[in-house]
Amino acid sequence: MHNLLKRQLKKAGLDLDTFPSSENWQQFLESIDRSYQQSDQDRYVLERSLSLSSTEMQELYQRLKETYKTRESAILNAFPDLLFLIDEDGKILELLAGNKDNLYKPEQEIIGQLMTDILPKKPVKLIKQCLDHALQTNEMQLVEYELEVPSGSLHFEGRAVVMGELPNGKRGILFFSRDITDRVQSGFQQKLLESVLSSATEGIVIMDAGQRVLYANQAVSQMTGLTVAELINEGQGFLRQQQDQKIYQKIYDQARAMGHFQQEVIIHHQQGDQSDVLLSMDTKKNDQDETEYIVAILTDISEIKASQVRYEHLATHDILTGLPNRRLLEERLRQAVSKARRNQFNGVLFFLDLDRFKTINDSLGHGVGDRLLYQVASRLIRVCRIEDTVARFGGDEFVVLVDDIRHQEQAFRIAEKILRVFDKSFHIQGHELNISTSIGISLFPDHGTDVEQLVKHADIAMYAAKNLGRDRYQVFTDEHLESAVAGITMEYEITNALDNEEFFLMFQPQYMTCSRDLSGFEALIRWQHPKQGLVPPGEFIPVAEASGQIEQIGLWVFEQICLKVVAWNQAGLKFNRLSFNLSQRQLMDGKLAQKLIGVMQRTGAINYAGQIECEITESLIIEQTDIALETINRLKQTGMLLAIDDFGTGHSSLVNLKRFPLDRLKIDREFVRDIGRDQNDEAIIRATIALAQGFGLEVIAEGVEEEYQLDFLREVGCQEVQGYLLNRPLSIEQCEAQMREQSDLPQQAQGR
Amino acid sequence: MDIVLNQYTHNQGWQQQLDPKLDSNNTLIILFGTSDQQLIQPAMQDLQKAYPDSKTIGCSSAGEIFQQDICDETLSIALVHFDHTEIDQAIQQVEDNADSLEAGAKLAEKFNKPGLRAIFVLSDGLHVNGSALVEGLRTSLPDDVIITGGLAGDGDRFDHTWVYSGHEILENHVAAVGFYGDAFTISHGSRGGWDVLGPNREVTRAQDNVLYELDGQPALQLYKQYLGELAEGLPSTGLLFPLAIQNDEEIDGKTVRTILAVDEEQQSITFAGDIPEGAYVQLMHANFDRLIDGASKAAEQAMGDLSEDNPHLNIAISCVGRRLVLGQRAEEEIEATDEVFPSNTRQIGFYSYGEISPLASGRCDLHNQTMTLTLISEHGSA
Repeated sequence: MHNLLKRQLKKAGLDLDTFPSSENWQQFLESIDRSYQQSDQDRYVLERSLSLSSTEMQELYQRLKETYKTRESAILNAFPDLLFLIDEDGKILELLAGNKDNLYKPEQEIIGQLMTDILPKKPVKLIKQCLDHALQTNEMQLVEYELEVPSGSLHFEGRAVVMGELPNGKRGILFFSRDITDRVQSGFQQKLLESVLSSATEGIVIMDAGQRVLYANQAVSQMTGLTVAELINEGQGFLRQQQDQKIYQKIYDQARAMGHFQQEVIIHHQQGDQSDVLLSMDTKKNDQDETEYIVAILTDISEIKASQVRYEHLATHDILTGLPNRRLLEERLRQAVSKARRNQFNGVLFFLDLDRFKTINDSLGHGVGDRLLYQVASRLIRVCRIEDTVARFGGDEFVVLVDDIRHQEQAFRIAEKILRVFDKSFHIQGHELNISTSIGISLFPDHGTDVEQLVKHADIAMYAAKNLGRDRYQVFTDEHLESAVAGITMEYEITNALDNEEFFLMFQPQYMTCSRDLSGFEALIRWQHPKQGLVPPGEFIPVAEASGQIEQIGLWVFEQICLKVVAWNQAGLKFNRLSFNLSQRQLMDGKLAQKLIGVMQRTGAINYAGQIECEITESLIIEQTDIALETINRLKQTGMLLAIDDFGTGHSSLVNLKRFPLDRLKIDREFVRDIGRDQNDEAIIRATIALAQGFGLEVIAEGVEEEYQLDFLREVGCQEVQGYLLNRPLSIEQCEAQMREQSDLPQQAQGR
Repeated sequence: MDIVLNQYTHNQGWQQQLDPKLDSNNTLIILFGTSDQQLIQPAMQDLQKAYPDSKTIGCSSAGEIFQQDICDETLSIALVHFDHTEIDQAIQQVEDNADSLEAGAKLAEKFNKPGLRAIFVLSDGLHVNGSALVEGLRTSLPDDVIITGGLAGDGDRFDHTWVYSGHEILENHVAAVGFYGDAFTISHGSRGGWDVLGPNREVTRAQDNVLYELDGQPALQLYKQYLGELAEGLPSTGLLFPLAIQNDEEIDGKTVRTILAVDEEQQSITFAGDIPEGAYVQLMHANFDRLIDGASKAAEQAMGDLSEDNPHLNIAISCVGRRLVLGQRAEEEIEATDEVFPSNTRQIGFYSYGEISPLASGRCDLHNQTMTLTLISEHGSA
């Protein structure tokens, strides 16, 4: 019996064995009725609520389903992956694809198919391995593969996750496939970029706005000696230790302010070396115009700097001697002048020109010349203080600059010292060379306050020293300037004189000592200046020598004597020889022999070469240049005679004397002048004659003005003489008259 | 400890003669009666005369539980004479829901003396926010003081309720007794047994214990829809669908709330406890067997491993909603609880508008739609 019925019976005071009273029965029925009613109500409430909640749940489910679907399609659209449900046999059961273009085949052709049936072999093999591995290990597995899909050849990354048993009883795998083509390609580009950056010669550093190093390549590491990791961990900006804080901050601030900044800095290597580096900083800003990155590029310019220094040295120094060159000298002089002006000091400029250097250079070759210049430079440096400037001005010209002398005498002492530098011989390649220098001195501020003026004045003074006989110094004076100006004027006038035939020849007759018979003539040049009248050779010859015009004049003279020799012979005039002087300058011309022979051939004098005598100075023999010797030998081959002028003045050695094919020695007028007064000179004359006899040479003495001189010369065996005692230089007409006169004399009077 | 149960009805008077010998300072009279004071007025006077020194506590009900019976229109009393336990009584006036928290705190202060073991509270059932009241009590008392009790009822009328203390019937009050001393033992159990129904709904608008909207819809509308023609019986028929609030602190993960009142104008429903805005709630519906089983479980929980030697008084407080749903079968849950306890246990109680007892976590809270049991006894009692 139902508990409730039992209770209802009990409440109504009834039991199962007794028939109820009507009151109790009534009460019991009411109780039963209430139960039924309540039961109805309960059912009503329950059914209603169940139905309502069911509807609500259904609606909710629908809403959720819709939301899920919307979400799913949104996710799929945003989801780049393809999602496959694959069973353990490799059959594709389901797939979700946001981007259908990445599917190998249309969806309906994939579902239900075995992978092996639809995909190419290569990717299938890779995917299958991945799936098998996932099934074996029960762990997620990764695979990368390449597949040709309608949208192109793509790289995919697959992830296989085992997901338990499928309704078909097989194990299922979720396979996510993601298009990583961009990543693969950017990976390649990144690798390329990385390898380019890391192998770059330039150091490259990338920093954030807080100057923290984000990237540094190997080159920076090499420059600093810090490892890349140390650079990145530095955290303070890679140059902070390297540079003065202020400099670094300046570079950084400028770069930030201007977007780009460049400066040369010095980078100190950990091991102590340092290198010059061109630091170039660029800033990269973000959209808010805030500095996001700073890119620094470091270019090692140590090499460039070093070569720049070398270049500068080359540009300012003479290669041969290593001395400052003209350019640097001028710069130093400029500074010295202004310094002297400020400090009221005096400075001095010594302009040196080596005497007869060209002769050495031409005869012994440039190699010897260069060595000589080098040694001269070395000696000059030794004799000067470190603060003085010794420069090679050009050729054989040197300049010494001293910028702090107190008085002129000090300059003279220095000049003396420089001259003494040349006292000792120079030994070069077996040659013992004696050389001197001529020095011109200009003082500043007295002789000028600009570089050009000072150099010019010293140069002029140097020429004055040359003119005074070399191996000396001269301080610039106004007279020097005047004569220099005069020299320039004369040069011009010499050119005119050649054109206008203002030169003419005089002939110094030469006689036999014993018979006083005419034996020959020495041709002497004269200049009939249209305004100044007769100009002495002593005035214009040095100018012509210096300017080189002597060569033209010499040729003119030679041509004249050739013409005379030919004309005189054709006229039947009798003479032993006609001599001319070859200047040193002329002998430096390697083509001189050729030129002279050409003249002889042109004039026909070649046929009378034996009557032409060439006089050269003794100094030529001393210097015995190859060119001069060659010229002489060639001339000799024509039959031309060779005499040595001024013999005895130059202390020429016998050995040298022997090398020249000489015919005659001419005793210098100095010795002749002292005959009867200086026994030494007389002894020299005697010795010279003895020497000449020994070598089979003839001797002539010049400058014979007194009878006793002639007597002495005759006595000691000098064959010929010339001088005012017997005759002055004659004009061409007088000369020819003399010869005619001579022709009339008995035959024996015509020399030997 | 001596326990004497007695019952008064208007028609038949007291079941037993009142025995004044039990009157003492350590005597507690616990009583539950009809909300109709007229009917029980004489009995009240009898009690005051017979037990002037005894402490009293009681309230109106939606049905008195007396042993294994559910009665209406009675005054059911349990007279407990303690040998070793001190007891104390106090009241606190509450005019409005908003006073509840403060009232709880003030009331608690009146008991906060050394040796306090437990407080049994009976509150006005209509003008008090039970949640706030419990919160006030709890936070003002030491953690180890056990608080149990319930909210007074008024049948299925929800019209007026009363509490009883110091031989006085009081409205808009909360009454309580405190138990002191080591000899006193107390245990409790509380279970519901309701099933959830339909979807989770979000409380989109609510204030304290007044619910306005669920999922953006008027809450009252939803109740009316589910009740159908029974909607006319609101608020009492609303008890058919209590509301479950998700609460991880509860044993079954939810706090249950019953309807106290509805407001047609506001389209709102007032519950016996707070409905937090933003919480998720579900409607519940009855499953007879599970409700009865719940009562049985509550008894097992309360009994625990208590000694069976000492006599116990079981104060059963069950929700009016359960009685409404169970109807004539409500007594089955009374029987179910009584069957769990030993034979020397006496059972008294009432159908309430809210139950108070600790949660599984130990924190005391207000419950609805539960069977809540408070089991008291004393060591060394015969």
